[in-house]
Amino acid sequence: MTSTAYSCTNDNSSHVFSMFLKQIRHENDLSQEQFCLRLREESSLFCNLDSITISRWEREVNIPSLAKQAEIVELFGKELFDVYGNDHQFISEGIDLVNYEQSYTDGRSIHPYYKEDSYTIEKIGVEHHCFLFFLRMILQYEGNPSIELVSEEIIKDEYASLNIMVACAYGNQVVGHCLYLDTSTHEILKLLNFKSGLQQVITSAKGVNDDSLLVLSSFGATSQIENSMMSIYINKFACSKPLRYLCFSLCDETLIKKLTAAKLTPFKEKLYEKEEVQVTIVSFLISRSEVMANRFLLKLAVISASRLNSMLNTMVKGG
Amino acid sequence: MRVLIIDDQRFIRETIKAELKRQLHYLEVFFYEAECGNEAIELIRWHSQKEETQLDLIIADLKMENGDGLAVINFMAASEISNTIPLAVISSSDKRTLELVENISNTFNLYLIGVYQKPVNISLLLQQLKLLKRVRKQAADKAEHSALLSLEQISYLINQENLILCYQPKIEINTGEITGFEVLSRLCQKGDGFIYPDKFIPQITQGGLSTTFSKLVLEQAISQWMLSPRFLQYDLSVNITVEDLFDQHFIDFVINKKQLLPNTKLILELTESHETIEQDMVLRSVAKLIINDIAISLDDFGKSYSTFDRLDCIPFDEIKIDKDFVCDLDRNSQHLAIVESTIALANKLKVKAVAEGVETLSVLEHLKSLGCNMAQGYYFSPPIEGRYLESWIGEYSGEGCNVITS
Repeated sequence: MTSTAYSCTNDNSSHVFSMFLKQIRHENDLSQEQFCLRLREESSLFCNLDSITISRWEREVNIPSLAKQAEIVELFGKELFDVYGNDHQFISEGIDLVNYEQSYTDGRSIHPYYKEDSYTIEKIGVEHHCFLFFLRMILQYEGNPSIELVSEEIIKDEYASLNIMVACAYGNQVVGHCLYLDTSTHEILKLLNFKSGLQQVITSAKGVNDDSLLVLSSFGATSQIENSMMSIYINKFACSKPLRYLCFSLCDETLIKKLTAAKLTPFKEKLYEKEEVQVTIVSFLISRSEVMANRFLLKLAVISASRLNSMLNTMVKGG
Repeated sequence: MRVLIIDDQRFIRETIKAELKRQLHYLEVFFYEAECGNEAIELIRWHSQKEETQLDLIIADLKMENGDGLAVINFMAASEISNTIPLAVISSSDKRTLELVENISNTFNLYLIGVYQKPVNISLLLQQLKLLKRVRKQAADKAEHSALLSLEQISYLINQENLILCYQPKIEINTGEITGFEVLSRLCQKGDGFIYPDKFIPQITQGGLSTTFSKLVLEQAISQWMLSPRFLQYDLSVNITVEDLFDQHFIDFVINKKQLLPNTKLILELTESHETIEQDMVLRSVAKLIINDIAISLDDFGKSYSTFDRLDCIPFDEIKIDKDFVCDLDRNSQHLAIVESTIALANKLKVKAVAEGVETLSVLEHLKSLGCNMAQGYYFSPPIEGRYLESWIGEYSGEGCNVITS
């Protein structure tokens, strides 16, 4: 197999990964053989690679799995998120997941008074006069006994590391929410093994050793709202490179089902028993590369806050 | 709700009825009674003929004339309804007999709520029924989403193109130093993320593809170790199955591959399987591997019933204690006892004990005080992909080896 001359076809329909390959090979002035040799020398995932395969990838005869794409992209100093996050075709696929106009095909709503309408998303900071109200509401919705509020009196400053986002439709109806924070894997493992509670996780979040984003609850009355709430923290996770693990600790079966339907495997399913209470807590611990290797999560990751907001704004105006 | 109560004493049946009525006052409950196993079997058979007469709960005594509780269990196991009607067994027998009955019912895959000593605590029984229903529903939902891959899909998937290996560090507990890494496999297809071994290993084994797969894993793992001189000092542990040991080509393949890494300790972790190990051929393979400087480790200790046999006939280098016993040993005294005696056994046999599934400092400290040599688990790190391995080693070593005191 001889090297094919690089030609830049600015065809929008070609696959983003094939374009990346051609571009990176051109930038580094490598033939397909040289490129193949470099992958073989630098990664064990390509120990059997031949240059014919590379030619096939470039011609889009076949495309490697996202997981293998990630390895190649990272060998050249980028992340899959950077590559796909700049592809208009892929971004529009992501936007489709949160666009309410698509919802007519779905129509599912788990909210009694809400079908399809515009909504806004608001961040509820610790200074917000309803912060405690929303926190209690979300914890009650999730029903996870391992993260109960222990005392009634809480020091607000300690809760500053908690992120609360709320989606509201007309008349301030709450139609979606999410609760998450940055922390370390050690703290998460303590929580999942019932060695600590919400209080400890919050106070131990110091920002220095934070390598994980922990989601404690996420909900949307329709699957579009559900997806937009998810895109908020998944995009934040993707943008923040020190975060290596995306974790969930959940009791809400809707989200658990959604994650398993997206082919994610639970890390643990643990029975919480205390006096009369018996609840199964399901957790997920997803590495950064697993997030990128999952097409559904990657689509949500490329929806930036500004893209989401401009979409919601047009919805408000249009609706 | 339809409840069948089987007991030879009328008094017992009446007590159970009264208690169920009281607890389930908000429900309409229909009671059916049988004095002996044979009568009960007729009733169960009659009720299962139609959807609308299906029983919702069977409470059965063990010791009766004319067909005992075991006869009922045998009947349920033999008929197709075994898995659909919740069954509670009650008896005045001692605890060990009850445990035996529980084991029997579990091997038959019955919908067993539990085995209860008389007098029966009905509220506990109902609570456990409720919980079991929930768990089964969740399991069914989950199975729907995460059905095992078909053999066809698997044979299509197992090649280097879809295989991604992760490496989980093994840490010497006393010094906190890295001694080696266990290789864990993932399959990746298109944009579906990672597929974990519990979803494909059973099929691979069933389809007789185990040796093909083990070769792929070894090939990728060894080329990973050859990427950097820094890896060579660390042990490399790869999982194999007993079937692999029947294949002489595989043994030669491993020995050949090992020659590429003369200064690295290669460990083959033998995972559980129902095959008996005493066969000449297996033992000859093991001897050949050991002579060629390849160590054998006994994986998942405590999970398989045949592990003691194996321990007796193969000179293992280490015993790996299954993570299910380790991860909660600070909360579960039974698990603590199992881990403690396994470590003692390993020490007596002069074999290293490796605890898997360490997630918290508290568990690690317990293991240290029990004299366990090595530990592995998320506390040190989740499995690491090859491309991050070298930087992880650097980071871990840089932070110092005082993980235990930190």
